[in-house]
Amino acid sequence: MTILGRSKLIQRLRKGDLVISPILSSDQIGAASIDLRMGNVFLMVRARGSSHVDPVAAKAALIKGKQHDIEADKRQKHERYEVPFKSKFLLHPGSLALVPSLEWMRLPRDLLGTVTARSTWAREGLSIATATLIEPGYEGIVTLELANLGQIPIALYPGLSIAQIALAKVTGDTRRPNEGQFRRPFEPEQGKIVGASDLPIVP
Amino acid sequence: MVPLHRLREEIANVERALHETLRFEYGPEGTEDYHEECAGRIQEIKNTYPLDEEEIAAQLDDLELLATWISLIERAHLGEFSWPFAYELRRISELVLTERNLNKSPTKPLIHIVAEGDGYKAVFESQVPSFGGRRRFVIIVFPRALKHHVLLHAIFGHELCHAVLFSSMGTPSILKTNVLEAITSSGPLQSASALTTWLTSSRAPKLVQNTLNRYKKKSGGGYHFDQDHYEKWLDELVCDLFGLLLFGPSFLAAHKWLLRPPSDARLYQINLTYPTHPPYAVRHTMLAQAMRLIGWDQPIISKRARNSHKAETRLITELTKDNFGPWAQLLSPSKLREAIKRINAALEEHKLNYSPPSQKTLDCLIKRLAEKLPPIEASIDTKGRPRLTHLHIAQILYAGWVHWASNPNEFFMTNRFCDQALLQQRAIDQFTNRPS
Repeated sequence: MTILGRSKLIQRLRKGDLVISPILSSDQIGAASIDLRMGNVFLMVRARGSSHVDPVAAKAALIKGKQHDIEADKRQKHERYEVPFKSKFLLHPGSLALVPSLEWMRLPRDLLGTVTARSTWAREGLSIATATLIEPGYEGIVTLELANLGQIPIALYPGLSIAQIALAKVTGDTRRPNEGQFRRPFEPEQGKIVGASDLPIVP
Repeated sequence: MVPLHRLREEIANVERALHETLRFEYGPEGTEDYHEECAGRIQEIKNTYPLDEEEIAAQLDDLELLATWISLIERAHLGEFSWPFAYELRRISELVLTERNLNKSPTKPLIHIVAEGDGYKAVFESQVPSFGGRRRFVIIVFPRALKHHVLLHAIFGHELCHAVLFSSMGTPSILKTNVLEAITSSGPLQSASALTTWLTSSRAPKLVQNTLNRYKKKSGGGYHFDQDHYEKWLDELVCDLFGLLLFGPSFLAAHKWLLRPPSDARLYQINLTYPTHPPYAVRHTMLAQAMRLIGWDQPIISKRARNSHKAETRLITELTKDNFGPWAQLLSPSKLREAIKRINAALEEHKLNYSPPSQKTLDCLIKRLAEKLPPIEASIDTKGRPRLTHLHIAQILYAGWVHWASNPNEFFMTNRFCDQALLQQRAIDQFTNRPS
């Protein structure tokens, strides 16, 4: 696997086939990664709204659920907050928040992105849930899955650089028959727990 | 029932309602001031002992109104409107609606932003209450269904001007005196009777004549403008011009999108029972004529940038192609030019005049939209140093409208990209220490 270094990152950004925009300061581009800033929307699970995550229920809804109920369940799962710049959002220990990147991203077909927390923040207990893979050809904001694994709340402010993306060269054709499930998202969206290919194995 | 007891009970009720609003998460900034103003008004009513039943009645009226203002606190939910746009409206409103009190010290209004089910509004508290009003409220209302439709939000230029015309000093007085003086010196807008003559002339389109005939049959007499309706027409025309000079061609685009009747039969429609607004044909004619006088009917982008030039020309043609004939032209070119000059002078005082983007900037924004990227001007040099440009909201909107003119099926997506661009532009302005 070949990871793009700073000079290659700059070259690809200037060429325009790789878009991570806006870059607000030169130190946002690291030795082999680009820092991502936090956007302004936070989705937090509404604890009173769901008892647990269950692929069986997701399958049942998918097969015979009423459109209203499916949509309502999806919408009511999260509380949505918009936070202006210079305003604080507290992430409590054990909480998970879905947050968009401030940057709009467009990956060319030959690059794969890996998003991780910046180590400074990781040391404070902030985790970008797991390393998020961004597929070649992806366009949109990147959803950051923030979790506070520490003991004390963390104050977050939109615009802070909290994550980083490393870009690796991919060989072979990366096009696939079906598009990814998130097409040019502008803000975090809930994913599909059960996709069509999972139906046979879910009771 | 003792009136004083009812008053005390009502004060306690309104106070409880205000207290209850603190349960809600609301914003953006400035809402705390709004809350404090409401609390201050209650306190002053509490501190004033009414001398007679008339005063009790006046205090009860104030409390009722206050309860309405308080109920709006809960409606200021950030997730329901484009807050980067709302910030800009707040900034503009504070500049044009600041009044000077008798000590000549400036008093800013309290701008409160909400989203409701109906249309665009900017409501100015025309009368400070008898008891305890310190700062006036201005409520900016976004239509809830148009959360991301920032291209249409340019229509706020018109609504803000209505609020300006309601207030009393500074920009308002310039608009009321200088601008009205310019457009009413002669011609159909000179007086209510001159306007009646114009409306009822034989040059009027058939549709108008039919409406007048129906009115005559129903009421038994010919139609005459009364002073109130005449003044309302003047306000509407001044507000349209104000909006155009504030937001540029994007205002005309939003105006056309929101107000042009779907059926041509309604282009000249006038409600003669309550004629508060001139027919669409008249309003559009004035705005299109103003575009030509200012020179905004010429593309910014030269023919060398072929695609962008074509796209911009398409938008301009779309905005100026309607021709509703000489009857719809209420203002002569010289009067309109004078009105533009005077409104521009009022806006210039606060540096609020629309400034078109440069050719290079507009070309860049249009290309980004074509590539499905938010229209901002941000790049890096060979060393990875950012090159960031400050853009005004109206410049981003113009690029959005240009893109739409060539991609009419992408209206919602164009709006979303522009909304995202406003957010990113705000981040750019914060990083470059530029107040936006």
